[in-house]
Amino acid sequence: MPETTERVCVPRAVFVQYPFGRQLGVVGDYAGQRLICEDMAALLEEAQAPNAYRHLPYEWPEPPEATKWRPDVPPPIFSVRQGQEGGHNLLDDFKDEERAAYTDSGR
Amino acid sequence: MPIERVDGFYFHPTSRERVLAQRHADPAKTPWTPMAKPLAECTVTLVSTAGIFMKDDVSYDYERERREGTWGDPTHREIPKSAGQDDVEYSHLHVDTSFMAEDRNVSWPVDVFLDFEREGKIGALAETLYSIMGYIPNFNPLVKRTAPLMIEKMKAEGVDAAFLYPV
Repeated sequence: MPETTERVCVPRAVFVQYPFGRQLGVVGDYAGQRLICEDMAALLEEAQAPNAYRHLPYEWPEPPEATKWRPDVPPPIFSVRQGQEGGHNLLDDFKDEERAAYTDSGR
Repeated sequence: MPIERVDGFYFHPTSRERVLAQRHADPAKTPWTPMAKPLAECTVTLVSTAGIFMKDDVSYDYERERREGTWGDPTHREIPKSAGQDDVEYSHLHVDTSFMAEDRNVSWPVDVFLDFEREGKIGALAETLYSIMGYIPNFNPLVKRTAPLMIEKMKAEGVDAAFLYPV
């Protein structure tokens, strides 16, 4: 997702408007999968400075409403979110038990 | 009409508010390592976030994630490049990995890179490839411990570049 990657800031990234789980293409389309890998390799060789982002022109063959990417069983975070309406900040609940330790030690 | 700018919310519109609320890093601080030699002379590796692990290896800790939905396993798994399509599990709980189980190259293009190696487009595909399970809200262990472990192994294998494939 460019909206996330451009916030994080990375040296090089290629974006393609394909669904989660199949970001290189449909099953069995080796030529299409390879094309995106070649686009990535080209950016690796051509980029001259960080934050080098390239948007690829390829279109997914199905409309989004007909494209499956979610798992059959909802992930555990779904039940957490459903219990937290009204602007509750989920970040407050993230369990990063090591964050404080790293912060305290200055790392 | 060809896409000019990718819409990251095209398949996941309900994530818009959460993603746009994320703070921006400073682009002036983005790390940069220029390519020191042509790709055809480079040893490269692959990194996936699809929760891939060898069938004889330990799974990611999904039991804890099921107990604590805001926690994700921050560790990594190593996968030999010789491992085949069916030698591994594709296990991310947040994304349908059944397509990868049919054809890993939809998100884990090992066969593409093996061809790149045979054709001389890359110098070599490293012996070790890597996966994490990409749902890791508790990211400090990933940054402080897991990533250095992967980098240490990559350096030991002479890796010049890593291709990352977020699932």
